[in-house]
Amino acid sequence: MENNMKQTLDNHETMNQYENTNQADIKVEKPESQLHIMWSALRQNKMAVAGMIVIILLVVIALIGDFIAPYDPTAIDMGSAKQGPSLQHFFGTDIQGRDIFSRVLSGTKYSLLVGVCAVAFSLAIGTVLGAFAGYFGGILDSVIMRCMDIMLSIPSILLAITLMAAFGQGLDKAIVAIGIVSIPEYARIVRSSILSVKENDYVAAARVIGNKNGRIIFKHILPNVVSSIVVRATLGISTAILDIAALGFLGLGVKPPTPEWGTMLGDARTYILSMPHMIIFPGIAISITVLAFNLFGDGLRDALDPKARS
Amino acid sequence: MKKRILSVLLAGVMVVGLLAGCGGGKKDAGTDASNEGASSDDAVLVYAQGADPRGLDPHLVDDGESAKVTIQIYEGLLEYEETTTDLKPCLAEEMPTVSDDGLTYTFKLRQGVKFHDGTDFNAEAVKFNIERQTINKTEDMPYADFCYSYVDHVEVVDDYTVNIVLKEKYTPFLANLAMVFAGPMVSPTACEKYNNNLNENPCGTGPYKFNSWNKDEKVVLDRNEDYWGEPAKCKQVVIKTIPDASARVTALETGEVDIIDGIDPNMVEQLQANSDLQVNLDEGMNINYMAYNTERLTDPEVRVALSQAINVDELVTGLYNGFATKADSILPTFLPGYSADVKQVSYDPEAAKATLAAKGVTKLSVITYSNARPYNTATGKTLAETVQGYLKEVGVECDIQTFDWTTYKDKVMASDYDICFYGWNGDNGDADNFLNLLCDENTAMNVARLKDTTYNELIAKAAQTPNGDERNAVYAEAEEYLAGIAAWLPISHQQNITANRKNISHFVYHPTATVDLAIVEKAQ
Amino acid sequence: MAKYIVKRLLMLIPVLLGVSFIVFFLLRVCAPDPAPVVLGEHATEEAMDEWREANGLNDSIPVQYIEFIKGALTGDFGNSYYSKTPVFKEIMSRFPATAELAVVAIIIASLLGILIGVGTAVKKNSIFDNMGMLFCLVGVSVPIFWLGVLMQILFAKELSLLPVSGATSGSIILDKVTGSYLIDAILSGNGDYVKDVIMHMILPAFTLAFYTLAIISRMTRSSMLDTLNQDYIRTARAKGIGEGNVIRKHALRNAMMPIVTVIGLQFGSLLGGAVLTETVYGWPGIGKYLVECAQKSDFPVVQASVLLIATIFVILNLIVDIIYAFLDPRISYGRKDN
Repeated sequence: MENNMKQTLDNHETMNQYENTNQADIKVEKPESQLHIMWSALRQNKMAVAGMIVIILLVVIALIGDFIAPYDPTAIDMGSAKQGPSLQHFFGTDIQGRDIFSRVLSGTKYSLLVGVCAVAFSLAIGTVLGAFAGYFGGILDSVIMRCMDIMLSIPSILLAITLMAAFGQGLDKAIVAIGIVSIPEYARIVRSSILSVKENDYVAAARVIGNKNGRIIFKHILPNVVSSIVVRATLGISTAILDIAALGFLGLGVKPPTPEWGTMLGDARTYILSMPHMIIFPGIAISITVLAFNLFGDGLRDALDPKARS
Repeated sequence: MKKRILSVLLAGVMVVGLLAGCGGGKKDAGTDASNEGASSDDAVLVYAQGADPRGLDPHLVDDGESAKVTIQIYEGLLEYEETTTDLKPCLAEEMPTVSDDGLTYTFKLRQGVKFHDGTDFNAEAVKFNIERQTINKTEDMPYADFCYSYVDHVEVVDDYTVNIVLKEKYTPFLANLAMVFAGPMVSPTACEKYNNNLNENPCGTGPYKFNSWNKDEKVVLDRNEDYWGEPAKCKQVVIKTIPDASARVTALETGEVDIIDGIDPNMVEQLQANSDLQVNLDEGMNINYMAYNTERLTDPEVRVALSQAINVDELVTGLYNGFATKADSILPTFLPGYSADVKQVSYDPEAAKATLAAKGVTKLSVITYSNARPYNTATGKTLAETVQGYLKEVGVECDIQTFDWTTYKDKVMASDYDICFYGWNGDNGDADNFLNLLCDENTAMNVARLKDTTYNELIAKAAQTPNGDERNAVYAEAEEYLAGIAAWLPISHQQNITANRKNISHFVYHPTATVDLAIVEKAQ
Repeated sequence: MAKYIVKRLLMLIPVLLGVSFIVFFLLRVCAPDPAPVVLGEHATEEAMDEWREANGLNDSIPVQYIEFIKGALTGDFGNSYYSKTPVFKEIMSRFPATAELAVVAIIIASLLGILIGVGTAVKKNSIFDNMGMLFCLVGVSVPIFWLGVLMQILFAKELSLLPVSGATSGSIILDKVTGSYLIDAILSGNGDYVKDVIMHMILPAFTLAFYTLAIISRMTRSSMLDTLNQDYIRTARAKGIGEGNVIRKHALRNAMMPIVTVIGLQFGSLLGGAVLTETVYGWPGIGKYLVECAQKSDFPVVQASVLLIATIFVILNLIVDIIYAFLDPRISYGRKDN
């Protein structure tokens, strides 16, 4: 209880106190900005740095992938089809003779785009809905959460399939479909975190000293649930990338011949025994990308949340 | 290299699996479907296919997965020969006599045949079965009209003689009676008992009778010990549903199942190298084609030029690994009416480029299906992408939309495309069944939207001509004509690829994509 | 509390109405026409129209919806368009298989997940922590269908330890009593049958559990770390309470809130994961069936199964909320005061 009061009264002081009491690796000599503290904490986490480096690499690949690809990722060359990995074709070729290495490079940008945009979409809407529901309670809570329940109750993959059928194929449509499907997750997480925080004394204190509701939510409550939101959003980017892969796998998603990774997996499914390289490399690409985001997100969480820092 | 990467990855997965507790002590022995030490007569035959049957009432279903089960349970008046679509009597004692006007078919029925529920098979039963699909037809019998719409009425002459009277002459009628849908005889008493729906309670006269069906898992059939003909070799048949093609292959390799179908052409070499297995390649009764929407691409020269741009030879070898034949005609080569003289537009990208540039064709809208189909194992999407590649070389850009099969049918009917991909599996081994596609008024069938009087007249004439050279000549002429106007680009005839374990003998995959499991033997 | 539960159960009604309306509307507006699929290649336009008329698809959507609700209230969900079999029967012949797979998976995931989560939190920065976290990261980073296929190749094909697909071997014929393969095998009293079903269940259950297991581990770890840093834990330790007791009685109980949320949420999403798992392993459950039926526009099946899943999901949420109240007495459900 006491601890919570302190937190609200002076965030920085609390942090410094924690750093001292927990024998933190970083020594803060003068008051620094939140960003600085985060960065120095993040730097200590080797895994997070690795994740970040991979993400930077992926972004670079996404930007220049089409230019450094040794082959045109959509060019059909029946003469060199179905080859295993070699020096000419690092990841081999697919059934139409397209270079899988070039396709994987070129596919990076689609997964990144979908992951980030879909999470931004659902996070924005989900957080606001969840925060209002949790804080105000009553009718507003019931209405919002019943709507979320309705959405959550429909299996997300089915909802996504139906939405894709309604929207038609395309990257933008996939982003919206995946975004919509995960709104309730954020809303619920935010709401349940708020429920557990809002009965704390410091919120009552903030209310007593006359803070407006909006200010209480955004200044006093949300910062305290940020860690769970970040944990969730971290997983969210990975979920979104996995979701677009699943849609692609099921033959929805993007228009051909776009080299989207999930679509490549779907195409390769038949050939898993005869041409395993077709399914292995796009799968590894997805896994590495998602892994990088998870590593980075974990580091970010530790940095954002001084309690978990060591 | 390939193998090594794979094994490194798999090792990684295994480590992960062990961490997850996968290494629990439960995996000491594999499961085995075979009954060791049993005599051949007691064998259980396990067949794996890619989807669950729709239902087990042959008048209510239309899918190949159902057919592979129902053909074991039911029989019709006629049936196909073991490996061809030639006809022979089955529940009829002999081939029917046809009246001089070609309208009345008289069938002598086999005596002493009983349905699995004990009901007698007789002329009344035949009448019941045909009337079930004509005057008493319900709205969801997919093959009723196709098979019986030419039937005027059925007369019971005596207990074992029946007359079927047609409205007009129609040569394919007998071939239709041998089909696995609509043709087979179901027990009238069972129909009454089960509310006119035998999908879950099948009852016929065949060599196997129904035991149980676990939806999406397996159908179990027991040998009909009172069968009128040669009894089935194996005591029990299990038809398993294994949706994934690779899983099916693995199940065969590990001996979990005895026979599989729907094998990817790229797997054939690997399977052939396995000395426990036998791979069967059979000519398929199908056509895989690309259709031009003749209402939008009205100029035959443009269509010919587009066809010229596509290297069908290279495409077929590449996509189907040599296990599909390049189609020179729409009809499969073994069907009566096929002519080796028919030639399609030949590959000539230079000519194509010139014509298309002159005609100003630069952009086309293409629709295709995302799934693999029996006539196109490489999926419609892959096929369309490949064609897109060829057309790009002659300066034509394609915008491809792919759809799941169901949605695709809707899109095809909406006509909003220049090019679409489609295919056809023959039903009855008659040329009409294929070539009628291009004069059908139904937009789901005639995807080229062809309305050509010359062609329609040829096909109508052939349908009334009795089987023989004269009829075949008309079909050859019709094919020739079609090739000239390039409404379709016929691509390939897919082979049916099946495999069985070496201890299985007498396994035959019929051109109509069914299997008679009663003659299959399993050595222990 | 009882009043609260009744109130929440009553809330089921608007949720289910909402679900049924959304599904009904999406299907009627977005899904392709079922007639060509039901009637097959040879269907004529007239036959299709006749069929649509007979199945009420020519009526306006509100009229169709009212008809559907009327039927649903009397327990009649109609027949599957595609198989002509009553929908209830179709669903009940597949649902138990999915339920048993999901239950086994959630048990595996919860037990191992909490174990790994607590272990890694307590032994923070140890080799066990690093391995555990790496495993969790891999778990949430790998596409489930990809993993499924790799496991199949390894355990079924290369090592021949486990069957590749399906729920039972060909030679085994189980009497359908409950519809759950495991329970039916146990009821048959035949040890070989039970073993066979278990062997078939291992790969799909672990594949399905994998992602959830990783999420639960992560959540448990981060939640445990949060609580372990709280003052009262230090106080408890200072009071000389044994470390095991501190972890079990003080830390874990307080850390359970977010864990329970995640388990509750994950159980629902397992049903979604079941679609892909069931597809890869040919497990005869409802997830794959539902998507197949959605793709075939088999409206009655989709409507009824989504309602069923929705009901289960809402009830699970209710249970999660009730468990909250037990775990954190500060949350009051009795009356709305503040």
